[in-house]
Amino acid sequence: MIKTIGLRKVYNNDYEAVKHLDLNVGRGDIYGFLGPNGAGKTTTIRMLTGLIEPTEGMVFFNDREVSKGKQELKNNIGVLPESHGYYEWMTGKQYLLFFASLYGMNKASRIQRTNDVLEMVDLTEKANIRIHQYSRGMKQRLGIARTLLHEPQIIFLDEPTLGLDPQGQKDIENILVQLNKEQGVTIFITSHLLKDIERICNRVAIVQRGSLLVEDTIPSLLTTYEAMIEKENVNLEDVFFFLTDEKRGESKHDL
Amino acid sequence: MIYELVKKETKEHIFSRKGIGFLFIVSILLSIMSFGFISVKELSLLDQPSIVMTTFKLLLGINILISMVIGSTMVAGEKEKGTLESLLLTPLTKRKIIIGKLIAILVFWLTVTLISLPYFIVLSNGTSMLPTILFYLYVVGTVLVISFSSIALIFSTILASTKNAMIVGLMIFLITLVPMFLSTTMKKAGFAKLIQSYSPISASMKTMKDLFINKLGALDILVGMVPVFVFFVLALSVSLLISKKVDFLGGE
Repeated sequence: MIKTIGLRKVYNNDYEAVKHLDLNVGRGDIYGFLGPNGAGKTTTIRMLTGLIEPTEGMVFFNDREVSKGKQELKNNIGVLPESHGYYEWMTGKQYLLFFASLYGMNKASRIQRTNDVLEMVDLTEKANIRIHQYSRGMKQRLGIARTLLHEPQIIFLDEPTLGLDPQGQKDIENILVQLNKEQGVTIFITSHLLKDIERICNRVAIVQRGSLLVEDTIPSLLTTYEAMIEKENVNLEDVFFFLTDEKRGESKHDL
Repeated sequence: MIYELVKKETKEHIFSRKGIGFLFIVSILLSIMSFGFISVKELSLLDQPSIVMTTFKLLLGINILISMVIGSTMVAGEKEKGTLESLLLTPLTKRKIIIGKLIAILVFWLTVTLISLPYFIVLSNGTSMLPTILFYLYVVGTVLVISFSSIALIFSTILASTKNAMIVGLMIFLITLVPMFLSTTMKKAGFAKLIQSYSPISASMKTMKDLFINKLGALDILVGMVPVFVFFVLALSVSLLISKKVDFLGGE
């Protein structure tokens, strides 16, 4: 569904945030995009969603190059940016109705769809409360509801559980699994909660300093690195630290 | 889609506490001024065209100022609140975002004109000035408000902070006002002469005088208006061109 070839982003001609990234996100995947802070995750999401132009390389959405069909892309993706704001003076329902209208839905379908997504994220009872009264978890659920309004094929979630309490994290996780299983929505997610990623994702990519270290299904990844890590019951967290620590060591050595 | 954005902008900036406050200030100022024309001896001696002109100057000045304040907050404010990224991810194009915000400012101006109409009707009572007033209000006034709002939106787009966008926009407005504070002799030389000749504000004030007091013909008025319309075309074109720069990352 999403494919990148040699994706590269250089800021101000001197900082290379993303280095020749080749990714492959399949239809129906819950794809975990992992990496330490500053690895280029957000920049990659912004390039995949057409918000910023890559310096080099190409992004394909359903085999069509994104730069040639941005409107089509916008109509088929939902994005929850990392630290985004809300029109806090609106109620949750008004907020969703506003965004539904921007997707060109008629009045009847936007009301219906707004009610549907509110139910999906369990905010129906709080729909008429102003957003400034929402908790952080409620705001994140509202953000996810917004990404689903136009029934996108894929949603991009940049750290959706950031700053949430365990219950809030669990709620988001349940919503995502349900969306993927029941509606077949492809999910591209970044998170530092590796245990949760291991539980919900079927495929992951690990990046560091803009470079792709590995991209594989989780079972295959665990099998590949089990022997190298020399530990029983290797999990995604072990693989992540093994790869990223190893890489840091090499960088230091290079210097 | 633009309609929905205009509705949202109007609710957020115009029919909000802030916007209603601005409308209240405008009506209070108009009331004080009208009361002054009746109760202050010197002012009551003015002829009706001069009274209408003075009221126009106040109305235009205050509204351009308010429109620029509102315009400055529209894009930079979305950047500061982090809402612009979500907006840019919708099918709405960057140009439509700017046009939607510009229309919302226009809604504010039209609301102000509605508030000011009764004052103008009373102030021009007994004369045939009302059609001229309406022309000036809805043609020249609207053109000036759109021009200066476009300037505010340009800076709101290229700068990341509302405060900076507001300061730069207001400075431009103040520069166009310079000739109003200079003596006739000073206006005849140097930088002051340059601004006096090309400032849309100066041109609009001059044509207002030509229209209401000197009673010049339509052609003279149109020629006098050239700087106003050139400024309008330039400001609007640049704001639409610069709309490509609408970016949640800021621009400073």
